[in-house]
Amino acid sequence: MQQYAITAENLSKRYDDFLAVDQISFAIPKGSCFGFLGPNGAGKTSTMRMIGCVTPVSAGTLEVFELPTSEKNSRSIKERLGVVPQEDYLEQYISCYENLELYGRYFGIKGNDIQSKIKELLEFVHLEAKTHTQVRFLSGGMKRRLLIARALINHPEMVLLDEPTTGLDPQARHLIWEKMRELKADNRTLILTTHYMEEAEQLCDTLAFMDDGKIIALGAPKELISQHLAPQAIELVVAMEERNKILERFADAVSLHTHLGQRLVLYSDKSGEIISALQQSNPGVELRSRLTNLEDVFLKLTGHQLRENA
Amino acid sequence: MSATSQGLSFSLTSAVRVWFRSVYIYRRTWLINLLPNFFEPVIYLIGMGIGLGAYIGQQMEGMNYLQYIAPGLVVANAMNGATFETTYNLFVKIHFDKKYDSIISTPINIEDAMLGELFWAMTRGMIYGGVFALVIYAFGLISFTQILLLLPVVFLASLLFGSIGLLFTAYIQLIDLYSFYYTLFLTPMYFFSGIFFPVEDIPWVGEIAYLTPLFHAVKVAKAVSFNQIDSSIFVHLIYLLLVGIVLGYLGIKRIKAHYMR
Repeated sequence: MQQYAITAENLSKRYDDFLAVDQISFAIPKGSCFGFLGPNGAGKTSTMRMIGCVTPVSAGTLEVFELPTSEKNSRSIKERLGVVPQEDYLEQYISCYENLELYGRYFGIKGNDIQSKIKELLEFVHLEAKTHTQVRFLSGGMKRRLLIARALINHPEMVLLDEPTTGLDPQARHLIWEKMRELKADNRTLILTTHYMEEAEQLCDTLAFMDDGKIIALGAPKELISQHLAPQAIELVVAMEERNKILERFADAVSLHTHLGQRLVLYSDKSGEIISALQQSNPGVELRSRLTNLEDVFLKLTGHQLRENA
Repeated sequence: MSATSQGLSFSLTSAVRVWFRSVYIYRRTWLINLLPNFFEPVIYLIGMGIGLGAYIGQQMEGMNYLQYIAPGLVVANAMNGATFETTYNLFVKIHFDKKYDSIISTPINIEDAMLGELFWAMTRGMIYGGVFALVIYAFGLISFTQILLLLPVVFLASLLFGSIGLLFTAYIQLIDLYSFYYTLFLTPMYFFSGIFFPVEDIPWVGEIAYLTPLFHAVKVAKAVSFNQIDSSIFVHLIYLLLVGIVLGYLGIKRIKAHYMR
């Protein structure tokens, strides 16, 4: 029987008169990586906060480790969780080692156990050279890695990562992805929020697209693409009056199109034929062919782009 | 369904862990942190006790002025220590540093964290009051036994002023509002609490003073230091304890409502 780390049914979160999460349902199998993808304000962080027992559920049910996230259960759920917050909530005026030691105390971990654990974790996130450096001297990427190490101090079964790579340079981002893969290989359940489709595509077994507090699509990344769109996309820079002609001409081959600012995007499984026909009829036309990605799916489902602030 | 209507369920272990955070962070810088706030009452003691005292002579209930004001300054010092911790410090931790957003992701709940901070405020109050009791002992103004008798008053004053600060912090959204707290609440209370003159003798002011918390702490501190202990001090002690617990509870409840929206 499939074991679930989290099950949610008709889960809602309301802050005063603002409905942040609107009756969402999902189940996350143990040991898998699940991603919430959506623009800012979609309800991702609110969902994470309910899972992390730091804000109460407004309506519906939410079970973490098969326990309802009631106040009564919150301490025992949080004991088994690791949380990597979006913001840098580290203690700035003490060292990396001391940050981990202090955080371990919050879980009641101390004494000899913690010393070897901290050493192991700092090695894991490649910060052993910074063991005794005060946190305020670390770069953004290092701080994020320290937050990951900190979230692992209690050897959690599940780790929540809220936009783990936002604002990091590509190198730092890849290092964090590598660490997340290692955690997954260690059979930890990972839940992340992101607005980078590449991150979601690379790491997640299952994705929930969120917009306006709702889950608008749920599935494996590849499935989501094949369910909703043809496999190839052609981006064309053409004037408005020209667009209708093109659309009429390729009506049979193009399964869907969108207007994205200056560009017309055509989705098709016959992109090769379309491109050669276009290059003959409109020589010098500016066009780009690529594989359909999650952002296209998101655009189709919501009518707006992922990174746009909702 | 909302947590704001729920009560508080404390874990003492968790509260102690949050208290330990301050011990841990301050363990290297405690001297720099504690020292400045400690000079102020010493200056009052010397300036008013010796300076003003020279003109007053032995007229304060048969004592010199230095002796008269010293015990009150012990509890006022505890008040300052505890107050600072649950006003400015707590506000910064909640609103600017977002300390508790991280802490409540661990098995520690927000009410545990606030109780831990109240414990720390009391610790700071105890340090301020306790050290000042040693200072006046060094001046020969009280006996060693009287230091020990002062400690429970210092403890309760720290609880009460830690709680009042916490309650105020729970209700404000702007750090600037502490100016009102200090100038309209703490400072007048400091002058009209009976530390510097017998406030009960002034019409109206005496009645108002009776309602303010520092008055009761000063009453007990003086009774203990002047060998005037009688059963009336228990009324004052119970006032400090009960009001401290009730206001602390209300403050923590309000802060929880803020976090667990």
